Amino acid sequence: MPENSRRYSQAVPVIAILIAVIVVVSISAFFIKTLMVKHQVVVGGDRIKRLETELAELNNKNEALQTKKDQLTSVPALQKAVSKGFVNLVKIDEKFVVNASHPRRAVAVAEKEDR
Amino acid sequence: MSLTSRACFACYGFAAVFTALSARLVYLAVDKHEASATSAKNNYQGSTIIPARRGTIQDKYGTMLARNEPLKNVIADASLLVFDKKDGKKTEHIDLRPRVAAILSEPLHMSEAEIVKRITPGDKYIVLKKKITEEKFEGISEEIEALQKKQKVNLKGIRFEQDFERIYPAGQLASHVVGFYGFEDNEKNPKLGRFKGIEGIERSMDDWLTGQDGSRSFEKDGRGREIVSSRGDERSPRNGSHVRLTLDLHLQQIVETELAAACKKLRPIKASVVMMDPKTGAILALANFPTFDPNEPGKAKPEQRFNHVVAGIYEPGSTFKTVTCAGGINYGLVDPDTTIFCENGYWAGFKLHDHHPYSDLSVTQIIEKSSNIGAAKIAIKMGEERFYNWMRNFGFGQATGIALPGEARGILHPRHLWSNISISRVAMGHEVAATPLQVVTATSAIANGGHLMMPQILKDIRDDSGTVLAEYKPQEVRRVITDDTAGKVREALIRVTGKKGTASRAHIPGFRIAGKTGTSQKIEDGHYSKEDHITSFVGYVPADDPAFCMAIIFDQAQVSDHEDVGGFVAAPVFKVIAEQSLAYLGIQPDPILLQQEKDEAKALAKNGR
Repeated sequence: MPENSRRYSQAVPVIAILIAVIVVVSISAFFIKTLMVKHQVVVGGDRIKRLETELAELNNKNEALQTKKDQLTSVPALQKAVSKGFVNLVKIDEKFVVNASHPRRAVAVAEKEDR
Repeated sequence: MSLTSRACFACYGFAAVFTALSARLVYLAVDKHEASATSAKNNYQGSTIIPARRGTIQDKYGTMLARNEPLKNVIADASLLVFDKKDGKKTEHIDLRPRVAAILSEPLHMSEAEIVKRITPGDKYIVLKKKITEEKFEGISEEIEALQKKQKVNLKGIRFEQDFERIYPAGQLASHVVGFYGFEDNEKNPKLGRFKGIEGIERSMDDWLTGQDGSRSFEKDGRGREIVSSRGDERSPRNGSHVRLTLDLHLQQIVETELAAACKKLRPIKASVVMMDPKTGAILALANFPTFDPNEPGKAKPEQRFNHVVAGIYEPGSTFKTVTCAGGINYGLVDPDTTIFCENGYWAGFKLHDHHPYSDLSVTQIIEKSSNIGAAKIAIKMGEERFYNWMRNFGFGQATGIALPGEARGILHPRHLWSNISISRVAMGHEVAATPLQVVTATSAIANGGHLMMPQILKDIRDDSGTVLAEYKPQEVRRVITDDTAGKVREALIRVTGKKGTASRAHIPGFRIAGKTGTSQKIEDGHYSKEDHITSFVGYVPADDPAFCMAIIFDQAQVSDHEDVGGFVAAPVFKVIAEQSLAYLGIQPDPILLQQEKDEAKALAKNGR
């Protein structure tokens, strides 16, 4: 080796090692990040799936309750409830009924009867 | 063997092996490409159908008449419950059925033996229990979870599948209109049998109610589970549309309650009521006896499911005289006061009888007294051709086009098939057959001043968000009579429900009611029966501004002979239904008319004393 070359050569190739380390770290970081993103996507997908299932279940529950409500408030069900005495209807006396098309006449009749 | 030879031999050997491998590669890549690609695709790709929900059916105010109830089915996959587990060289047979049965028997109310028996090894789809309600399912799933933890068994082979059942919250109410949904076999190809609307609106509006299923493609992981992040094409389902009817459930309730009460008393073979808004042609109520519960269609006999209002025909009898007399007045051949000689009860030329002997009757009186001879003479004045066209104009012998399945056209024989006496018979509603719907539609045309309206049962169709997709507006088919003729006929019809008319039992104090009774003999073995009758009444109220027009028909009411007429059987039913319906619609009696009637009653009582 020429003398002047030896003077400038280094015992340890620091720059080369540094470059190699940077490259390795970058590549590793890239792959780790890729794996993390992929994992996030998978976890997110599972969460979406879980939420979708929950939403579908809630929709079903909502529809089941609507059906129940419709069944309980249907005309035949209410009629049955009235006949069993579960729902009590009190007949309003005629004198308390105000006829919208003849309000004065109805009120007059009521007042007359009250007297 | 020299080194060179051995080297050559090895080279040839390698070359042969690579040639064989290359040939195999080419064979797999080119010849078997399709099969391999499909097999690979199936391993990592999957697709699922996203079912669309069937639309609902509602009355005009949105009250539910048909909807879906979500339910769950319990499904077992035997391949995950009975299998062979390989552990090195040993193969262990695993049967989880007894443990699964022990867990499921109590929540599903099934015996353990029954569950074990049902899970046939190898079968991947076994329905253990069907139609568990959401309410029960919550309890069952909690119970199963607790037992799984306690017994440390993973129930991978058991899953819950979503299902729906069609529910009719109103039960029997409007069952003939709503119809029902069920499985229809395909006789030619059993595989093509499917669930669909079988009768009523469920059938006629099936395409709108069904909707369109969606689909989704996705990638699967090693265990066959969906990888949500790698979803492919997705087509959202289009849920079925919601059909809103013109029916008013409260009016329907009044009609059905009173019809049931009347049928209990009169014990007819069948009976029908149809109520129409004469101004729009909207059907407000439609009921038949016998009826059925669409929640249990299997229990109903065919005659219970038959919609007589739309698909049943009968001879309208005297209710038809309204159309005949309207023709005479409209053509200017007669006016309400024109006197017609009614042959003193028997017209020998046409072998025609009246119920009572009448000599001279005005046209108004012909309607009021329901004279057969008088009606026949008016029809003869019109002439066969004109009379035939007149009836066709009113819609007889043609389907009305209502959106209900199986509508009958009725019978109106073409003129060349008429005998010499046909015109006299058709004039009084014999030799002609109509559906109750045709009769109420024709009478509504007189009620609204002469416009023949198309009967409407559909109000609108909406999507899930409530956007109106289709709206059904009143549709006039044609103008059949002048306003003046309608007024004249109306006055005659009002007298029918007066004290001397045939339908005095239909009278409601404080209201002017226009109507006509009808009594026709039933045809049995090709002859008119003397004992069995079809009695009817068709009318509208208030006569001057009708809120509804209603036809009531009873087939063979069990009453004494002299009472087996429309005025005795159908008119009182009209009265009770109309009274309640008017109160519900908020239509008040005319105070002046009410006072007049009270005064008349007082005067009569005074004179009587």
